[in-house]
Amino acid sequence: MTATVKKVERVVPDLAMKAYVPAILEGLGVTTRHFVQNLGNLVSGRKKSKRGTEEIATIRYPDEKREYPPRYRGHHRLMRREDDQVRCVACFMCSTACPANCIYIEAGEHEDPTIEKFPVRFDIDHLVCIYCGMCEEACPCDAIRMDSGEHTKPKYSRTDQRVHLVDLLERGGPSIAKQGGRFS
Amino acid sequence: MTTLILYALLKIAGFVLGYVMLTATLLTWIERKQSALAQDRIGPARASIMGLRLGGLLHIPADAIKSFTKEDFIPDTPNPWLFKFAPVIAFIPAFVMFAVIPFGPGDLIISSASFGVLFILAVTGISVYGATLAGWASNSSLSLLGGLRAAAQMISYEVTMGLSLVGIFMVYEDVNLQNVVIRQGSNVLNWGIVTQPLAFFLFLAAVIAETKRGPFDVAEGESELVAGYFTEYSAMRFAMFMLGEFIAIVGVSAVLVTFFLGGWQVPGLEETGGWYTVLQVSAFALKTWFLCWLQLMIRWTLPRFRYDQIMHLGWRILLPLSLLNVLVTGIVLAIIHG
Amino acid sequence: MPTLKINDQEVTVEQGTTVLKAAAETGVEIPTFCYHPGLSAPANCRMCLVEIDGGRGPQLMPACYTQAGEGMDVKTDSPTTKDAQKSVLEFILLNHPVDCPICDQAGECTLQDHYFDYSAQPSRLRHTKVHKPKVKVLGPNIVLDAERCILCTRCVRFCDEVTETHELRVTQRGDHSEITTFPGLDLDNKYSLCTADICPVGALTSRGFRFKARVWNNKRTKSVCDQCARNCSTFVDTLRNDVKRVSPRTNEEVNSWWACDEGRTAFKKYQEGRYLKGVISHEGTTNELAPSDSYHRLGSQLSQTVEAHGGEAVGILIHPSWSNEDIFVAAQFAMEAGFSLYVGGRATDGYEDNILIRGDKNANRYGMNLILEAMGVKHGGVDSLAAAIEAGTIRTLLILDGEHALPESVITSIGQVEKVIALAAWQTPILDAAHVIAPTRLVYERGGTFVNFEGHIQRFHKTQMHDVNILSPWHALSTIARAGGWDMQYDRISDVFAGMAEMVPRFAGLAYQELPDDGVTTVQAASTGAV
Ligand code: SF4
Ligand code: SF4
Ligand code: SF4
Ligand code: SF4
Ligand code: FES
Repeated sequence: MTATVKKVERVVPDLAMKAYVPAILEGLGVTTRHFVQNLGNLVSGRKKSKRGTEEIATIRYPDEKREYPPRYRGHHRLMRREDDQVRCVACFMCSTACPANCIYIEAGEHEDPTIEKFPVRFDIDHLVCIYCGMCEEACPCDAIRMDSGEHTKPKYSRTDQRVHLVDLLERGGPSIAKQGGRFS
Repeated sequence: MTTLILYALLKIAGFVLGYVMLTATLLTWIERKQSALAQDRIGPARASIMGLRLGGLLHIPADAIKSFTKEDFIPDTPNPWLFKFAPVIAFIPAFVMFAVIPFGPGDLIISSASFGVLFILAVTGISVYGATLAGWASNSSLSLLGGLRAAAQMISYEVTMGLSLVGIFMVYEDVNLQNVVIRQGSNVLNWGIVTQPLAFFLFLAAVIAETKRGPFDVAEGESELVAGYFTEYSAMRFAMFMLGEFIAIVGVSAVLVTFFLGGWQVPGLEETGGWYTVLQVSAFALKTWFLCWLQLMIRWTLPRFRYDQIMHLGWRILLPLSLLNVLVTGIVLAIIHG
Repeated sequence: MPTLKINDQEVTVEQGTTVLKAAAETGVEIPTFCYHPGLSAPANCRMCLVEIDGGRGPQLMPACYTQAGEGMDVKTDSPTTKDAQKSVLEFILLNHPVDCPICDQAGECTLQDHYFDYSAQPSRLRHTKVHKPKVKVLGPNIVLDAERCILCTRCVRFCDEVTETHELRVTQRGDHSEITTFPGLDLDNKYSLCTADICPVGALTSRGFRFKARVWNNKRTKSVCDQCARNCSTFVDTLRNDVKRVSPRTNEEVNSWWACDEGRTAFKKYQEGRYLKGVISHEGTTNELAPSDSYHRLGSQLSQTVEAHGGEAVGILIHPSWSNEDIFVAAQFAMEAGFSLYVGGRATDGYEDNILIRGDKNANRYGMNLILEAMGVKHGGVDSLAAAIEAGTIRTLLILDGEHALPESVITSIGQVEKVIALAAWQTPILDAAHVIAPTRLVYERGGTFVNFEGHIQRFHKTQMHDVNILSPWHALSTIARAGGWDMQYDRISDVFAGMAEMVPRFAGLAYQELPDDGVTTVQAASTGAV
């Protein structure tokens, strides 16, 4: 394999460039143009300038929030069955797939023999999590999702960042995905 | 006698406390808002009193409250006294400068000293100590480096600063600032910026370097020195550094106006007194504000120079140019005056 | 001695060898379900079908059952064979629930493995699957999921051929066939957990291990069961430093493929009342003590008693379930200091069979006798201990391990002993009388060797760890001896073993690090002196 080399012409500065001043004035022109246009918009209350190019790029964050893209991987949530019970069957696929090893599950015996297994504890340590999405990818039951569109909030203590079953379920909604190839 | 003193106090109160302090305080907000607008951002908007935000203007009182109430942290330093005193040294000279600046015709100058220019040069020279001592007394490597950079830079540019003013003295044949302004007259073509255009640019560059503001702000270059010489400062002492910096901006703007933009002169207005004086004082204020705005704009337009570039620019470009300016001025003057 | 070709490779085997074993000899693996080396071969799952040309043209025949014949041509990777394997798997999986997410077998499931290796095709079933009972409790240790059963009948054969208790049977026909117990019978025999082991799928699972862990997360360590004189080879599975499961490790010399339920569930009784600190009881109040301090306490107590009343005044009660190293150090200590040595131990429940379970519930009585005999240490039983206490000759009694079955006479008279001190891993009633207790490690937390009732020596390994400051018994005893002023310089278990191998003729030539996983038999001639 031959490496392709791209030759970049060196810019030889002429006197005007060396004197800086023209370039400085040009730069001042650009910033001043933005300043004046934005000031005009601010004073007149317009959102966009007439040319439609200069637009304020930032938002007033906690008051306004940007929509996350639909595939944003945010706060985990655990989905529920039709009867509101947790869909998760404590199969440990997510915790096995998790590269950060931050999912802690304890399984319990469910009284309904068609469900059998369910998580009595399901903790995710959000300080350790790297939001890779492997867990939702691994889940065979559509039980864990990261589509809440919420990022993890800052908390006052490390232990608070361990989110538990209850919290995860509260964010969850119903899912009717079919399990295990069962028909009926 | 009493009336004289009262009149002097009134001038100090009106000009220094009223105009300068107000401008400097507003500049702390303007700097944030102006840079935001120039960069397509919203800028300060969070501080609010019952939902009233005033475009972030309330950040000024918020900052004041914060500065007064925060812990005044003093690092483990062998020179605590020096550490406490350094911000004062940085703060005072910026203030004192206004004593010799005429803000209106006649006696609208706090001290009409005949050595006005020299006073300004001397006082700006002192402000180097504030930064250097702060860096030294902080007992921190970052602060020390910042202080050293400040010292080297300010001393280098002081030379250019002084030399670029020589042309002005030669043209207007006086060192009393009021006289310089009067000699510039109301004819724009006779103002310093026209008669000494090169000196204007040299002086502008030199004073920006003196105030250690972008693009000459390596002394507090946060990318490598955290905050340079005032890294270890907090609360009110930190605020004094910041306020001193903004007052210095107003100060150098006022000096620039005086030397190069005809001071309080209004173009085409010969008479003084009465409402004319009001107009002229306002002209001074407006010109000064414009230059403050220009300085902020320069800061938010140009990237920071490297330290060696600053030295190169100071000693190998600006200094020869200012000497050349003196030479050319002399020759031209000799030709004109025969 | 027929010679046959397996995948064009010639191999000569004994008359009567199955094709499956012949293939294994050449390194060719044939998938199986129902075949188990310890059971008869009913050839009912058909997973092992391979293409065999015995002279009458190629035919699909079950490798587990077909005997190798002269000139056979076996093809295990021909398209026909592969197709057969795929079809068999599809058939087996037809009604399989595939609840791997909730199935305890997942991760060690033969059906999963074979599916990925030999089938990997999606289900083509477009009808409702046949449903059968789930979570059906068969006995105290076993639960059945009839849907997952592939009807290999390994479990049935186990109960028929190994335990001969005949609890299980296949009922119904066709795809409704189902494993059940005989009416009125529970799957309740001494080896019932083995059915969960041999069940190739998750149909039979252990109730004790159910949902406790996923098998791939477990750490597996080779160990030896210490609950009777058989010394079954085991695997101990731990998760986060907790023992989760004990399962038999195949060892033809000792336990073949099996292990008894009691030994496998014994770890549970040690989970409560574990000593993690030393304990001092004084007039009704108890205080805790750092482990190292408690060893010093024991050492100084012993040296005080010896100084005041002589070595005879110290009674030391050793446990025949302790490893050779522990017993050797205890015996050496007793000899050096002149202590009176007594042998305690667990009581028998009177049950013994000719499968595995021995009446002697102590793991290492054989080894202990070898050591005591070789060293010539005088020792008595618990009865002589009772007599000595009665006679008042024992001032300080050092109880090693709390799991002794003491006769009533000792329990009532133990209060007369001036100081009762103990080195124990967990709380037992007899330790209530102790004034100072120093902690030591459980058998799962330490390494060592046992000699079983047939003279087979095996090494067991550390499977979990609580606190490095808590020492194994041999190490603790050596520390105690040093603290009491005796010369005892053991810091590595291999040194202890080397010292022991020098002294005990039956261990001569053995080295701790080099003992094979399956152990070695120390007996060449008829057993000498062993109980
Ligand atoms: S997002 Fe990734 S790191 Fe976070 S819990 Fe899921 S698998 Fe683990
Ligand atoms: S993979 Fe899904 S079903 Fe399995 S434990 Fe995780 S969340 Fe529960
Ligand atoms: S028996 Fe095997 S294939 Fe069937 S559900 Fe259990 S793990 Fe899955
Ligand atoms: S329960 Fe297990 S061992 Fe018994 S027949 Fe079914 S699959 Fe085979
Ligand atoms: S293993 Fe041969 S038929 Fe089952």
